[in-house]
Amino acid sequence: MTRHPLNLPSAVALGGPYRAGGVDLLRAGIRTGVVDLKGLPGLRRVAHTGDGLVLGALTTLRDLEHDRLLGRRWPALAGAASAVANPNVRAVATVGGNLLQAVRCAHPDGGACPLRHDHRAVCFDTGDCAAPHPSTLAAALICHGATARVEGRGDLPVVELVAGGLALGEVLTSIAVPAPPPDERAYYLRVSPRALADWPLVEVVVRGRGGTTVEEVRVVAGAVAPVPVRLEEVERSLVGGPVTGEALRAAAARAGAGATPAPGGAHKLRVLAAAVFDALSACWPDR
Amino acid sequence: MSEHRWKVNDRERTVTSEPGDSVLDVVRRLGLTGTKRVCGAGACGACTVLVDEEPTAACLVPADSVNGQSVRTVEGIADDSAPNAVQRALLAADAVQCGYCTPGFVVAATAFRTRWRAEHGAVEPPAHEVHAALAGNACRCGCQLRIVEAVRRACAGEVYDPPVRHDALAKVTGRAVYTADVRLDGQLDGVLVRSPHPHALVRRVDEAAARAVPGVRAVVRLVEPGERVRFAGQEVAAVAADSPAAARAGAAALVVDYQVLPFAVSDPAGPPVYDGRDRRKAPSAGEVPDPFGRWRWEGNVRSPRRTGPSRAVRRAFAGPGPEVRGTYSTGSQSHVPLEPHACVAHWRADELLVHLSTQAVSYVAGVIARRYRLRRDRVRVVAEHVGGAFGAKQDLTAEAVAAIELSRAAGQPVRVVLDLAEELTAGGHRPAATAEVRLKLTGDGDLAALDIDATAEGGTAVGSDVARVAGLLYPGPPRRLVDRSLVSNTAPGKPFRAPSGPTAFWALEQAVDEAAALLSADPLDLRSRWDRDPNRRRLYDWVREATPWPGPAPGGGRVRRGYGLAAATWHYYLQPLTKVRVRVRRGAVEVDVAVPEIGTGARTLLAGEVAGALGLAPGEVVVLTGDSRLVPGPVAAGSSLTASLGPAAHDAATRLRDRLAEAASRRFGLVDAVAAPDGVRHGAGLLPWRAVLREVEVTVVGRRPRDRGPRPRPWYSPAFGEGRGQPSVVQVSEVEVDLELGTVQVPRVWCGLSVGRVAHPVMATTQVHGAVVQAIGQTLYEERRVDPGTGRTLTTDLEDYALPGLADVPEIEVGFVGEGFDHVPRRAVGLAEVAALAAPASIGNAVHAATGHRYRRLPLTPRTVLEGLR
Repeated sequence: MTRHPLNLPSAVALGGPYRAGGVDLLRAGIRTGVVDLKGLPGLRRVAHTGDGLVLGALTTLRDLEHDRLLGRRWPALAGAASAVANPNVRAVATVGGNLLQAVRCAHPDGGACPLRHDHRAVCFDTGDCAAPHPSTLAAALICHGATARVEGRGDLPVVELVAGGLALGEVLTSIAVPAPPPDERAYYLRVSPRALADWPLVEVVVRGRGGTTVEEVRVVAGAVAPVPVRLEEVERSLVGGPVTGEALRAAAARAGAGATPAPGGAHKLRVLAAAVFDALSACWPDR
Repeated sequence: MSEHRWKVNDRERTVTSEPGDSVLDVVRRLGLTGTKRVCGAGACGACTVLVDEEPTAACLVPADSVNGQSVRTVEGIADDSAPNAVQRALLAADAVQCGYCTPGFVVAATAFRTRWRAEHGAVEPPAHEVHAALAGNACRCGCQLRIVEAVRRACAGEVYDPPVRHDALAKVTGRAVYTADVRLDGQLDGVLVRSPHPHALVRRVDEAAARAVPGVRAVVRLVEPGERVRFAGQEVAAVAADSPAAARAGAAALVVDYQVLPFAVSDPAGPPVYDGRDRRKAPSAGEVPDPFGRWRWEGNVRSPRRTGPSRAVRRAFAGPGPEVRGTYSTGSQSHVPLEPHACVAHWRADELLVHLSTQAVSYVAGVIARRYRLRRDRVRVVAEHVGGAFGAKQDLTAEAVAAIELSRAAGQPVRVVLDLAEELTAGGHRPAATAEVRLKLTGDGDLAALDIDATAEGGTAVGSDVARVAGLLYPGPPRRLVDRSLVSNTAPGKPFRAPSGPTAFWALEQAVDEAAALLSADPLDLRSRWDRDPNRRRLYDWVREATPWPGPAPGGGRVRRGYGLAAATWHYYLQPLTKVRVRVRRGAVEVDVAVPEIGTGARTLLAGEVAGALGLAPGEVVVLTGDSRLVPGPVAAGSSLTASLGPAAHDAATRLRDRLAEAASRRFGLVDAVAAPDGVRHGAGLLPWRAVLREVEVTVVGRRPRDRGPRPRPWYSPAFGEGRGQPSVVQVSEVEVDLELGTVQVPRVWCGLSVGRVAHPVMATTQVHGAVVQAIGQTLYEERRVDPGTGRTLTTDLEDYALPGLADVPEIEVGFVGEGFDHVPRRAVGLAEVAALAAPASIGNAVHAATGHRYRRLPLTPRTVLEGLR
């Protein structure tokens, strides 16, 4: 039987498995004994505060798409949210569920991972598991330096939440996204074989400042690593330098630094470099 | 079990759910079966409903998370008697083929229209807005262009044009009942138990534990102890129970003791898939079985007894002149009709009733009668609506055998419906294939000879015609055509829209472009020079007049545009024994034939022929199809339906008018009565048809007249034959290749067809769209993959098995070159298969024009493209 707690302490006491939208539990085949979080107050909200943005864990991706202020101030986050799956799924899928969804392991019962030879394979931190982290939202939130508030644990960076997951009895309640500087440029770019409603081959989130010179920049890539990865070599190559086509291209060419691609993922490094260049160009269109 | 208050289609209701139920489960149990289950993972949109007026994937919403909210299904989107603007626009645009995706599109598009008009007023939205709003809805028939056009028109205003299809209103309103929607009294749910091993001997099946599961009513074996299973996913047994959950629990409890055997995946010299005796049991993946072939086996490869070249071929290749060589391959493509294989069987004392999602109502009824030793009239097969098939539903398959035998064992009706993972594993696929092509040219650039040696890999199935089909083009010069089959311990391939055709022309027509390059000739000019077929020569002229061929040079830069051309041809198949019955009873005109409607427009064709003869509106004719109790009907396969059914219906309509004139003459004592277009003309004037219909009752049976000239070549059955002449296609494709991302887009194609007179140009164009879209899927996205380490299918959902979406479909210009086929009654031959055949090679040739690289392997994924450019 599904349990429907009405406040956080009783939800914590029930221990899980927790259900937000229910999409990932359905995939995992977990049907009974779940703890539904919908009855908890305040978990579905998009709050614009003085410090930035607070997203309740049960906020749907469609809620993010429909929030116009979010779209204006956090265009990369809005772009990421509206690129996930398709509209019929985004009506159900939540911020918390998207961040904490299971990795799409192609071989739950062990053996040689067939993904290693597949176009979905990772190209960074390649270990036994070649599946990339599936959360598009994570890439955007990591780029924004967002923190997760977890009942039973406290606040932690989103990158740690995504890498480590939650323990029994821990409940993700909200995500805090710092306010961007007023002159920030930000962009989300997704490359996929099909035009819409497809998994990314590569996805890139860029935030930056500066007009003719790059003052600050952060570049995060998704779909290429077990957890969305910061491309620090690209950032280093850009900061303090001029905003020119050549400079952006030279920096983008560093996107694969440190990569150890699985056999199926090698071609993605080329796609990644092109996608980083495209995302940088979208941030600085007037170069 | 828990209770919830929902507002369903504006009505407050108390609904109940079991743990794990989704909103989809609940609404279907309420009888609202317009909401379809396909993928169960939010990827297809067939279950789209409005939750609090927002389009939502009903399969993803836990039923017990909804309380006090409103749920609106397709049945509540508009009044049944008054379809809404979106529904009317879909009807008028011919945007409904099989109709299984249609309710989901109606719901999502209606919500989009409301939002769009609230924000922008009654203006037409750009296509990309529609693409984004409906990105979660998939169509397998390839109706994307029609759907987008209809939704844009509906946003701009009201559409009152009449529906194109006879049966589409039932589909847009969700009323159409498909096999998976059938619910008989006392119906049980059955599930199949499948082998986890790619190759094993079944030693023992212990049913006791399964029978002990509460709710389980029957267990049947589909493989007997001592028999072998030859692919992971093969059906071993089936369990029926009071609920799907109980059936699944019973299936999980069934104990099968396997002796695991070594297996082969794509391994000619690996462990044998068949031993000598069993080879004859291999099913066929070809369009028709070939029971008369003479074969030679080497390991897992079956070849014709004779593979050597003829003297003429040897001599030609030994001569002077250049040669073009290449090895081309295509991946395996899953049929994945949106309605999965489904059957509801009820074995009663007096009759075996089988609701079946099938392409072959009469044929399968005969197969069932023979298999179970029943009199033919004791078996009734019903297929009211079929949600797509594409070749995968031609025979009696495991879900039907399971449902029939479970029903016999339980004494109750049993429904077996495959889920998507089962459908993608065992439902059917086009075999992967490889063709080695050699073209020998004369010194002055003519074709001297061709040599094609092809191998298809269809899992446990044999049968391939790649070389033979390729050899239909450029008749004249000598040729060596060899077709081999490589068997593997993977699920059997099945005939899929133009079996073997895509590989044949992907290979041959790229090789011809290579020859053109070698000769510095324009590819179109070279084809017109080599090809003597008068119909295709007309198509080459059409290309010159109606397309931008050869198009501008690709230019520089990162995104390269290129144009490519390819020709292809196919057999003209017909079912010469096709009959159609028309009855006039109590003022109503009723046409009947046991043909299935799989989305090809059979009902519309029948209604049109008969209504046209009597000056009625098509809607005034009652069309009965999809029931084996009717006049035995043709199978919907081999592009032969329209060519068979149309002339038979026309013949019936002609006979009907004559019989009505006779009957009216007797009834009213008319003098010199003769049938005329508007009624019965007689000495004293005209008696209109409507007046005749009110007063007389007649029954006529029309037959398909014979083609002029020699009889059609009978084949494996007198009911199926190959006629003279070849339907042909020439396609020009425009592509854009991103050299850094490796993505290929196809913005526009021009598709010219020579198929005689087109019986129904609007539906024919829709059919061409579908063929082109499926071929683009095969060319760019779709690839069924099997894990060589375990033999298991890896592409078991619509996230991994990628179908083209709304935004991936090009503009498609269709041209029909109407001449030819004068020997065929009504001059119409089929087009559903031939229209799919030139797309892959024309895209391949366009990509070559854009990039300078010749790709020889499908699909053209970013990985393939980038690895080629490295």
